[in-house]
Amino acid sequence: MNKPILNVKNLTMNFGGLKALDDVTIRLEKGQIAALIGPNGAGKTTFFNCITGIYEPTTGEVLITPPGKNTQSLRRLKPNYVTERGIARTFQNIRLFHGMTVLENVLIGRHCRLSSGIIKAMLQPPSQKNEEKQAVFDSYEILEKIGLAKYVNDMAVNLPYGAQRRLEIARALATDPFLLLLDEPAAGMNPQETKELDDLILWLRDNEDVSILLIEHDMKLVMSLSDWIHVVDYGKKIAEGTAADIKANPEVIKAYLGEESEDA
Amino acid sequence: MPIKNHIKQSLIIAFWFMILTFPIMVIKVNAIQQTIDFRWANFLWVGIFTFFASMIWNYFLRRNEEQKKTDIADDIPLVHRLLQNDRFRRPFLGLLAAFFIAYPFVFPMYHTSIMISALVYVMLGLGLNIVVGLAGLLDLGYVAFYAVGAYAYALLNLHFGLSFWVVLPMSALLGTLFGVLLGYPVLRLRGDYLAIVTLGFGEIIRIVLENWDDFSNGPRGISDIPAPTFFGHHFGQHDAMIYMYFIVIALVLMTIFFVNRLENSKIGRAWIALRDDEIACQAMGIDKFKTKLTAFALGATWAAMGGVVFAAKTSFINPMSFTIWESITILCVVVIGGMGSAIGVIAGALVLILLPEYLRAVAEYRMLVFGALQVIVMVFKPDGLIKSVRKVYTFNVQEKAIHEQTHT
Amino acid sequence: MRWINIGLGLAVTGIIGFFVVRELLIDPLYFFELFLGGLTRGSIYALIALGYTMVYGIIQLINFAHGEIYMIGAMTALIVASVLGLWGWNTAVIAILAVVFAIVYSCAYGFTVEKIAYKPLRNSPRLSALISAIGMSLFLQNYVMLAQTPDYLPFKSLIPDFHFWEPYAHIITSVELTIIITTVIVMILLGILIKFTRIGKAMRSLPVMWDRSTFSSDFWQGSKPLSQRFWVVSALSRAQCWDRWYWVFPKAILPDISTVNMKMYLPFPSWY
Repeated sequence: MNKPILNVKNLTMNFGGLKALDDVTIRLEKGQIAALIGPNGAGKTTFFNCITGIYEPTTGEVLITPPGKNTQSLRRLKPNYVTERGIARTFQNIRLFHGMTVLENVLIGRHCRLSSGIIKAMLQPPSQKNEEKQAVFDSYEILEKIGLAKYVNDMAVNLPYGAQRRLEIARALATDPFLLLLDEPAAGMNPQETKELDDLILWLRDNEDVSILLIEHDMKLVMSLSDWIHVVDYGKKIAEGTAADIKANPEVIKAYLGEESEDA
Repeated sequence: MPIKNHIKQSLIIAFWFMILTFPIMVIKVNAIQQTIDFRWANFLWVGIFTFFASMIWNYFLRRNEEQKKTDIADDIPLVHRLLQNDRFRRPFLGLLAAFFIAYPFVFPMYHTSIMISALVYVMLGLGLNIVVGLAGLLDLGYVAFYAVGAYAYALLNLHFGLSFWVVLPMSALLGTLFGVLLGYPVLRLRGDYLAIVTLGFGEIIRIVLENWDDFSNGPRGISDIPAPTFFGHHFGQHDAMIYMYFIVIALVLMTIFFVNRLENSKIGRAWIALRDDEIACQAMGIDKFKTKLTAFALGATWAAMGGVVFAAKTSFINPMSFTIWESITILCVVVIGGMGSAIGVIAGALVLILLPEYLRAVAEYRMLVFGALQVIVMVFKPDGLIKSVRKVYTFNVQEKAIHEQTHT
Repeated sequence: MRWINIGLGLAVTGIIGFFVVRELLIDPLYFFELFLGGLTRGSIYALIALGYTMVYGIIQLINFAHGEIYMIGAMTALIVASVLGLWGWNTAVIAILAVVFAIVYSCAYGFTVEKIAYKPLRNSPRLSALISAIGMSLFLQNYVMLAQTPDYLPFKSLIPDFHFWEPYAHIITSVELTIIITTVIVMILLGILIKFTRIGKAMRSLPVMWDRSTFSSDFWQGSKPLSQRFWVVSALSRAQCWDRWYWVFPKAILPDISTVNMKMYLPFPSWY
């Protein structure tokens, strides 16, 4: 039987009495592109933070099954270990290392896949030099795939906005993930850039062997991309299903258009 | 703004300062003879001095502002341009090497002695630069590790007769150990909280040394610490100083070499990234705590080695050499020199340690001038004397093609 | 982990508490004397700390020159008191004038220091501002040492022994009483200022903007509140807080600090 690669069971996150997440259960199959949608403040980013270990969920469990490996729990793992287990993420508000070049940003992503320690860094034996070189080439390859190769030596801060978002994806990809969590990847993009992003995400799924869970407000993008959509509102999951199901779901419509429907 | 307004502004400022400094500069009460001395000359001097100082100050402030507006492109300091340019690089380094080799033979012993002190601070500064400049951890208790090194040599020599060369690597390890031990509890804190706690730890070490008489000989300190030997050979006083000088030069070169390599490695990248954005760093799989601890421990390693050299050079140590001001001086070396820049730290150490020595000509005014200079440097060069220019990895597409050919 | 922390905390509190209670039982009168002495000293530090935290709160800078401004307040009070004393003025008038001058001058010095050493560094790395503060601290220390003296100076008490207080004077002197009462009043006033006045609200809003980095340099350029706050900080933290009572009535606390010396004013006075 095929186990889901991400299995979030009854996740609850309590911030001193405020329930940011209430009993959310989500499953993600391998090779799936799933979307997490909901009005602002519904708890979507909190959900990401709980999975990636930035927050420790009050109750509930996050289980992962990396391809070819056994199921394991992410309970109480620090964010860096979650990344090491193969879950990479991007951030809603772009968090690139601004003082570094595009290439170096991706190199940071390679960090947890390199083995050289301090002693090796100081003595620089051939093995360390080769590893460094390999890391640089690998990073460049990733940039080529994402379509940022022409910016390779530019400072990250000087990149156009859309390219910065793509660089975040490139950096996340450099950690060799099996699951990619994208937090509003299309925010602030123009239609052309959004279209390119759409292609990129599909391409990633098909060629890089990653599954994708994304938070997004651009409904057109969500509907065209996602195999499965989860809807949360006030920390509770209110619906899930395919794009067609969600469009027809009265609860979702209410959550999104709540105020307006009352006015009407 | 026309010149007339500048003068008017400076006149107001001068007047403000005359009033401001009045009680302290002008009035002097002699409590014993019950007389009041009004030093009106001071009143005038303050006015004249602040008038011109304010003219100059404002002129440079304005110029700084304008420069910021005109060239947004990062200006690379002269030294870096010299080093990057192949034509100048070799002669420049050669000249520098010649100067430092000739130094102890040309100048009298006193100058060699203070140059050794300055070079010890270069070592300390480069060590602290890892912690503060690269990893962005404000450590105000750096002197603790310096004390550990110095006392390690003094005590191991006193009790077991171990020589300089044996203790040097031992103290490096000891420094690392202390770095880990002290770093472990405090590195969970951030920013200024870290600064205050490290400062507390620095004081703890000093107070322990001061009060644990049986162990460290208390405030009396430890004297007669031997200078390093050369394969068992003891030098006379003058030669010993020159020998010490070259040992320190070698250690500084070693430090530069290793720190440079660390900076351009995986771990160095992680430090810089951690300084920029902790959360993103962790999301990239970098262990925040471990990376910080590495920086902290490595910094401590160099501090301990600096301590050994210090003890061997002065031949006498007591806890008073390791007060909070020592930490602050080292921090000043790093920040005034230019955070994150090795050349800057070297320049900072030379300026900060040699300047007060040469300012002895103006004896009691030296600390006054020194404090004022610190403010002036920071106001006009907030990035330090020599701004850090990080070696950026430039990717070469051709290189990649060659690499692929050789590997297939 | 959490339980270990709580346990440790309780253990430490318990041990300290045990000794405190023991002292109290052995000699209650002596205990209260020490207790009130501690309270007096503590209130002075509390006032200094208030100023510290206000400065820190707004410019996010460990203000190394804080102790120096405090010292200048004390020096001004001392000079004014000595001069007027030699001119034969009434003690009560001297006390009031000394305090007023101390307030005005430490306020002016705080303002000037901010203008010179901190304001130009608002958009610079924070460590640069820290070094600038250290430089300022060194400068002010040496400035007073050179212009006045690096030696200890005696400071005669200006507060008389209140008659009505005589029956209790063996437990707490009138000077100590004055210090504690002043502290409480000043703290309340400061609280009111920060909570309810316009300037207080402006002051509170600034660090928030700083944190969220929504401010632009234009914002700072036209920023009245910051200068205002610094003014208030300087005035309130050191001078208006009347911490120089500490120096005006030195005998009140401990005999060994009845003198003024520059070395007392290193960044954190409590250590020395």
